[in-house]
Amino acid sequence: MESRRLAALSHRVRELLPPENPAAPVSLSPQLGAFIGAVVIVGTVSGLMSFQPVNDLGTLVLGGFVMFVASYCSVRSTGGVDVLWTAGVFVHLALSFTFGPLGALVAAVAQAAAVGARVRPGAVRTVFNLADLFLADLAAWFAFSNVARIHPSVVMTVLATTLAGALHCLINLGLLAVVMQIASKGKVSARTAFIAAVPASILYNVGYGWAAYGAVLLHQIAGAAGFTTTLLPVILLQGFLLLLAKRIRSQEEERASHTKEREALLQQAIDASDAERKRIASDLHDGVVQTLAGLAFSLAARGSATTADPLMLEAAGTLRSSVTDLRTLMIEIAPPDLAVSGVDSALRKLLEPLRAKGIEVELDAASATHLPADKTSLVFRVAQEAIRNVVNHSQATKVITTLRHVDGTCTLRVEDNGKGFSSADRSRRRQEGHVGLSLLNNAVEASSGRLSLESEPGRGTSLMLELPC
Amino acid sequence: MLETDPGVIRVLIADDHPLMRKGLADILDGIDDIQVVGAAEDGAAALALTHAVRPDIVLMDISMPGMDGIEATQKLVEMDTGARVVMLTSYSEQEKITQALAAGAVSYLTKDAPPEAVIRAIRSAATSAELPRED
Repeated sequence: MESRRLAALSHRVRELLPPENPAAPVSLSPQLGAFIGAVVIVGTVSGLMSFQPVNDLGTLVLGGFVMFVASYCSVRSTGGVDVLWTAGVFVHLALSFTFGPLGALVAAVAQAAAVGARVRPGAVRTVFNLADLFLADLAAWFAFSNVARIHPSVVMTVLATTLAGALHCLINLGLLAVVMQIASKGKVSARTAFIAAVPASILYNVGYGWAAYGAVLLHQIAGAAGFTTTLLPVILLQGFLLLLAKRIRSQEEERASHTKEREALLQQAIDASDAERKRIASDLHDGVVQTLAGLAFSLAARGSATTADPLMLEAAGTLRSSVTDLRTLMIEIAPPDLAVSGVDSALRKLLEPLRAKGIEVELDAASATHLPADKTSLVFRVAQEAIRNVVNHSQATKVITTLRHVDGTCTLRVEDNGKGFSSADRSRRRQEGHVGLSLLNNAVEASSGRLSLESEPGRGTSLMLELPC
Repeated sequence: MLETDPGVIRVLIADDHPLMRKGLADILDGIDDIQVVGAAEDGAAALALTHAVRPDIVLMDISMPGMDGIEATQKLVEMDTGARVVMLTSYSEQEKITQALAAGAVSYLTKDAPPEAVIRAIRSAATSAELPRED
């Protein structure tokens, strides 16, 4: 019955724990083996040389159990933040300060066993972790017991606990950094890894050192009950950290799901808009364009007959111009099948009206004729909006459009030599409801791209789109 | 047996839009050396009429219900009737032009072309083997 309850509790704890990525296998090179062997030997010799018996074995075992639980339930990362959430260092220091080398050994074994059970890091990592933690604990105990003994006073005690906490951090992280450099065959620099890790740990290690002195005092005053009182907050804190991490994780998942939903909705809106544009263009093509073109021919025939009426010829010419305008409009609102005709061809068509308005046009898109199908529409629509802005607002006399597809990135740049605008002008236009580029920016960001606009009054405008293709 | 005047270019109009057929017929009827010999509203009708009236030129739209102008042009070339196809369409994309010429059309115009360009294309198609594209 008890074992069933224990299994249920263990299952509940496992559900709360964040998922752990399996540790990558370690290839034990002679150099790595030699280093770990040396750490183990130093740890063993130091332990044997400094061994002291313990008379309160029950409290030591209880401390080891708390160490195991705190370490097993530690939160290594959540929501992309890699920080070890546990008060385990406090238990390490409390056990080491109170029980000496045997306390250090129990704490190191308990943590190595907990990590082994939770992450399954393999024998090499487990042996190293054990030796590393034991040496760090032993050094902390040594500093604490010897410095405080020099001159019993508050100042010396604070100095001893500070030194012990700092030493624990430096030895633990220092040995770890060296192992990382050897195991990565120099790809990770021990110095860099050490310098990066120390600031995040040393302050709370020192703090835990001071707090651990409280455990020593309570053990001296009230024995097992006093020591246990200091461990209870550790268990409660670990439980709180687990629940907090779980809440953060679920919020992250919810946020990711909302982002995905928003992107899907945006894509649906774009698809619906594309479909509607195609329908309008198709209606124009099949209806009014044919009617106007047919009428233009009929009027031209009447105008060319023997009873010619020049007004008929003029009307026919006007109708032909209207057909030309409508064809341009059709291409603008629903570009041809870009996957078939190529983006360069569509861009050329887009730029045609600019030439007709006397604007000098340069187009370089030869290296990006056929982009991936899902990107072509977006590239075209950004180009379309940029060119529309040039025509309507820039008063430019020259437009240079380049489209490149290099190393998996499409880069579209539309530059003009027009009057440009200030950021205040842009804000004002946005307030007036001109949100074309802002809407496109959302679509670009949903495709993991970037849209940037550079402009200054009198210095033209440059719009650049970068899109992973 | 069809009666043909050797100096007259016989033209078949293939377009699904009635006003286009009428407008083109109005233009071409006023030209002495061109005779409109029929009008079809889709690709299949164009093939049948070509077989029946043996035009020199088929003035072909691309977008038509059922068999479109590009498929009809391919079949016309396969039928080897001697009729040449001049595409007259609203499209102006490079891809459509390439498809039309690959199918066997000898010339290509868009529907906003002036009547003179249409007439010139018909005459050129009727008299030369290889013709430049006009639009």
